[in-house]
Amino acid sequence: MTRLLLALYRLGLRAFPRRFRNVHGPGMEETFADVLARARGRGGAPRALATAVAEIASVTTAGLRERVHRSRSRGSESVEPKSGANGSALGSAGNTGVLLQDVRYALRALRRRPAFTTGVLLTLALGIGANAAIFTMVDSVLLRPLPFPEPERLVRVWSVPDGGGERWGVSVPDAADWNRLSGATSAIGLYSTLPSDLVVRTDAGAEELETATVTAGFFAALGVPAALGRTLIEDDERTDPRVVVLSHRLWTDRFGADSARVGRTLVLDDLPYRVIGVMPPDFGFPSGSIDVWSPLAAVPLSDIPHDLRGLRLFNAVARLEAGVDVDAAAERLTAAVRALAREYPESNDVLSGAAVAPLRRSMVAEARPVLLVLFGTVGLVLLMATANVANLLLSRAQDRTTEMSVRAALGAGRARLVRQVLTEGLVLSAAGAALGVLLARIALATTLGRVAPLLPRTGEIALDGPVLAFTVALAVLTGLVFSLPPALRVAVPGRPGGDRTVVGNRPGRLRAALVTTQVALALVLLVGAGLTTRSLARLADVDPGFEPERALGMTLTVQDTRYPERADYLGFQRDLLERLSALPGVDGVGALRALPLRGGGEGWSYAIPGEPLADGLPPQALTVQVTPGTLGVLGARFLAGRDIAPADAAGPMVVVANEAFAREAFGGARALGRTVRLNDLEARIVGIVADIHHEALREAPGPTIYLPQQHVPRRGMGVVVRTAGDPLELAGAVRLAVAELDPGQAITELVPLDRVVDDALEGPRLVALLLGAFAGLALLLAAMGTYAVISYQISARVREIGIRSALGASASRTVRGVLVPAMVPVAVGIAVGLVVAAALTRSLEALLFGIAALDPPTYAAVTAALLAVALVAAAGPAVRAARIDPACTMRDA
Amino acid sequence: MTERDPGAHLPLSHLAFHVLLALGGGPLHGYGILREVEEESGGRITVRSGSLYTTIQRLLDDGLVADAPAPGRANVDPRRKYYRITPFGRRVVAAEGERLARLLRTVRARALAGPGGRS
Repeated sequence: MTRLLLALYRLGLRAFPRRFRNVHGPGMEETFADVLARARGRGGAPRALATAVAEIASVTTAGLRERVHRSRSRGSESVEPKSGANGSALGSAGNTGVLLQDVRYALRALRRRPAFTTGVLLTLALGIGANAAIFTMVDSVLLRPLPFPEPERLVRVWSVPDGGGERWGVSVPDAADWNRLSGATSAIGLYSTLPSDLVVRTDAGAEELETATVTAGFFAALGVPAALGRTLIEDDERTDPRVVVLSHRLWTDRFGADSARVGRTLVLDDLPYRVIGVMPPDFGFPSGSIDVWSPLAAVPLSDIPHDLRGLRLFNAVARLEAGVDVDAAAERLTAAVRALAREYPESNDVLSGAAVAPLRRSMVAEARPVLLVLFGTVGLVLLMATANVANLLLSRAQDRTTEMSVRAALGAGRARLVRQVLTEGLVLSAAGAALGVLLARIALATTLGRVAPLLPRTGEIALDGPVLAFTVALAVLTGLVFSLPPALRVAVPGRPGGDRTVVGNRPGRLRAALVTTQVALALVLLVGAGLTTRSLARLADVDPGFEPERALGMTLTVQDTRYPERADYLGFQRDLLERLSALPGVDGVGALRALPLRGGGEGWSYAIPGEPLADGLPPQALTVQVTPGTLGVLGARFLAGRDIAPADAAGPMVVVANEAFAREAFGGARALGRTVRLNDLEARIVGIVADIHHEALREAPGPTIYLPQQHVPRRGMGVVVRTAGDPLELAGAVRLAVAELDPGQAITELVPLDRVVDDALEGPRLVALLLGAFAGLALLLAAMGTYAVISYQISARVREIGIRSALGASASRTVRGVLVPAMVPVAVGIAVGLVVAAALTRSLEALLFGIAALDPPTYAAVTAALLAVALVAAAGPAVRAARIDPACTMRDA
Repeated sequence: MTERDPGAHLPLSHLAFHVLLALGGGPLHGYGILREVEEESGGRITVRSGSLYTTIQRLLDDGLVADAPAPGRANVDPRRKYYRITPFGRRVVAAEGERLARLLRTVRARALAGPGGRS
C-alpha cells in the first residue's frame, strides 16, 4: 500500500512547476515517507491512510498555488503581442495569472461570436440539463437510501400460500407470532391500504383525512421517532385505540403548528380521538400524502374484527435483527409459518411460507424500468449534443487557423495555444452546465406535479449534492471531450505542414465520423420514441368495457360510526341513488364496490357445484358488489342474459359473470343459467358481460363476478351517474344531493369517467412525450450535422467543383457528385443505429404494450424519416454547389 | 553588498516564522523541520509537506534560508537536502520577535485599562 500512496503523492507533486519539482521533489518524497511511517506507528493503517490523503491533497493544492504564484511574479511564459486581440488582457489588467488571462480571452472570443456561442450553450444546456433532471429523479427514487435509520435492514414481508407463486398480506396475530418466534426480526409492523379515511368536520362540510391504519410495530420497525409527543405503542392497541399521530404537514397547515394540540382530542368520524404525537416533516410512509396514522384496532373494516388470524389483508414491513440477511430471514419466518400451521390448522394450513424482500426495492420496482430508460435516453441525447458541439467547434477551429498561426509566429508555444482552446471549451461547458442546472431546476419544478402520482418517493426529489456533483463532472468531461478535436488541430510554425491552412483528410473524416454518430444516436432515439408512441396508441385503443363518455363517477365511504348496521348504510345508499336519479339531466345511476380502473374488487374463491375440486388452491375470481342495473348504467356490453334487477332481491341470489369467468369456469360450454358457489354463497348466473377493466388497462381482466350489493355490502362505493350532457355540469348538483342527504358525509372523489380512463394512460403518455421530445431534438441535431458536413465538404472542394463544371459537368451530375459522399456517413450511421437500436430497445419491453421491441414497421418508418431529413438538409448546399460559377473559383485560386 | 532591511520581510507568515525558529538550533532537513515545528508547538501545528516546501522555497528566494551540507556523517542520503538559517534570516526573525513583543505590550496595556476606560 505504501508504494501506491507514494505513487499517488508523486502524481500530486506534478502539480508543482518543473523547476520546483527538480529541486525539492526528492526531499518532499522522503518527507512524505517519514510522515507516513510516523502516522502508521501512531495509529496503524487507518491513520496512515488519513495522513496520506491529507498530504496528497496539500501537495496538489500547494503545487497549483505555486504555479499561479510563479506566473504572477514572472508574467506569462511566452511573449504576447501588446496590441490586437490579446493586448488589452495584459495592458489594462496589468499582471494577471496565465489562467485568468486565458479565461478572459476565452470570454471575449466567445462574446464576439454570439450565434456560435448561443448555439453551443443551448445545445449543452439542454443536454446537461436533461441529464441533471433525470439523474435527480434516478438518484432520489432509485439510489438514495430510504430516509429511515439503517434502511438496509427494512424489508417487506408477505404470506406465501400453498402452491407458491402468490404473495398475500399478513394478519395481525400472524405478524405478532412471526416476530416472537422467528428471531429474525426486531419488529414487524402492519399497515393497511384499504380505504379507511377518517372524516373531520370543518366549516366547509365533511372532509376526509388520508389515513393509514397501522399496528404499533409499524413505527417500531421504521424506527422514526415522533417530532412531538410519541408514536403508537402496543398498549394503545389494547387499552385505548382511539388515538392518532398527525403528519407534520397536517399539523402545520390545519392546526397552525400548535404544540398544545398534542394530548388534546380531535373529533374524527364523530368520535373523540386523542392526538398523541406529530411526525417529523419528511416522514411519509406508506405515502407522502398521509395525514394521520391510527391503530388498526380503532378503524374497523365493515363488520370483520381486524385481528382475525385468517384476515390476510395487511401489508407488512419489518426490521431485520442485526446480522440477519434477507435469505436467512425468509428461512426463519417460513419455519415460524410452518409452526403456526400446525398450531392453527384451520386458518394457517393454507400457508406454506413467508416471502421477504428489501423495502426499497419493492417500493421502486415499478418505477425502475421507466427511470432507467429515461436515463439511457438522456445519456444518448448528451452524446448527441457533445458530437454536435464538437462539430461546431471544428468549424470554428478552421476559421481560427490564421489567428493561431499569427499567435504562434509571435511566440506562443503550442502548449499555450492548446491550453487556450481547452480553456475556451471548459468555459463554455461550465456556462452550459450552469445553464443546464437552471433548466433542470425549472423542468423539475414544472413536471413534478405531473410525475408525482407515477413515481414513489416523490417527496424526496430535489436537486442537491450528488446531482450537482454529477453535473459538474459531466460538464468537465464534456468540456474536455469536445475541446480536444479543435485543440489537436491547432497549427504551430515549424511543424511540417503547420504553416498552411490545414485542409487534409483528417478534419473531414472526423466530421464524417461525428455525423455518423449523430445519425446513429438519432435513429436509436427515434425508434424508442416511435415504439412508445405506438404502444401508447395501442393502450388507448383498449376497450375498457364500459362507456366512459357522459358519465360521472363518485367515490365515497360510509362511516360505521354514523351507520353502524348493515341496514343503515344500505338505506343510505338507496336514498342516495334515488335522489341522484331524480336530478334533471341524469339518465341513470348505479353503484359498485369501486369505480372501474380504480381497483377495489375482492378476490373470492369459487367452485362449480358438480365439478370435481381441483388439487391445490381453489380458483379465484374478482368479486364486485353492484346495485341492480349498475352494469347497464356503466354501459357494459351484455353477451348473454340480463343485468341484475331490483326484483332479484326477493328471490335466490343471482350474479352476472364476465367473459373471462365463463371461459375459465366452463370452458367453451354455456355459462348462462349455471350455478356457482362463492365462498359459502350459492348463486345462479343470469348474465354474461364483456370484460370490464377494474384494475389497469394494460392487464387483461381476469374472471369477474358481479353480485348484488345487499348480500355482502361494503361501506365503500363507487357511484356512477350517466348524464345526458356534459357530466361536469352535474357535479355541483351531485355534491349538493349528498350534502342534503347527510351533511357529514364526505366525498372522496368526484370525477368524469373519461378522466378515469385518461389517468390510466398518463404514465405511458408522459414517457412517449419525453422520448418524442428528445428524439425530435436528436433529429434536429442530426440534420444540423449533415448540413454542416456537406457545407464543409463543398467548401473544401470548391475549386474542383468549379473545374468540373467548367469542363462540362451538368448540374445534376454536380449535385449527385456532392450528395453521394455526404450521404455515406448518414447511411453508415443508419446501419449502425439500427443494430444499436435493436440491441437497446430490448430494455424498453417492460414499458411497451401490444408491440414488440423489434417491430419492423417502426424501424422502417424511422429509417425512411431520417433519410428524408438528411436529404433535405443536404439539398440546400448541394444545389448551391451546382450553381458555383467556375469563373469565380478560378479567380480566387 | 547593500544592507538589506529585515523589516521588508515582515510580518512573516505563521509557518515561515516557525520554520526559521526551528532552524535556529542548527541545520535540518525537511522532515526534521516538520518534526521540530510540531514538537515546539506541542502538536498544535500540523505541517503538511506541500506548504512546508513552498515556504522553504520562499525563504530561499528571499535569502533567509540557504542550502546546507549534511552535518557530520559520511553516509548521507543525497536526496535529503539540509537547510540552514542565514545571518540575514536571523535578523529577520529577531525583528519579527520584536514586532510581536510590541504587539503584546499593546495588548497588555489595553487589557489592563478595561472596557471603555483609559489607564
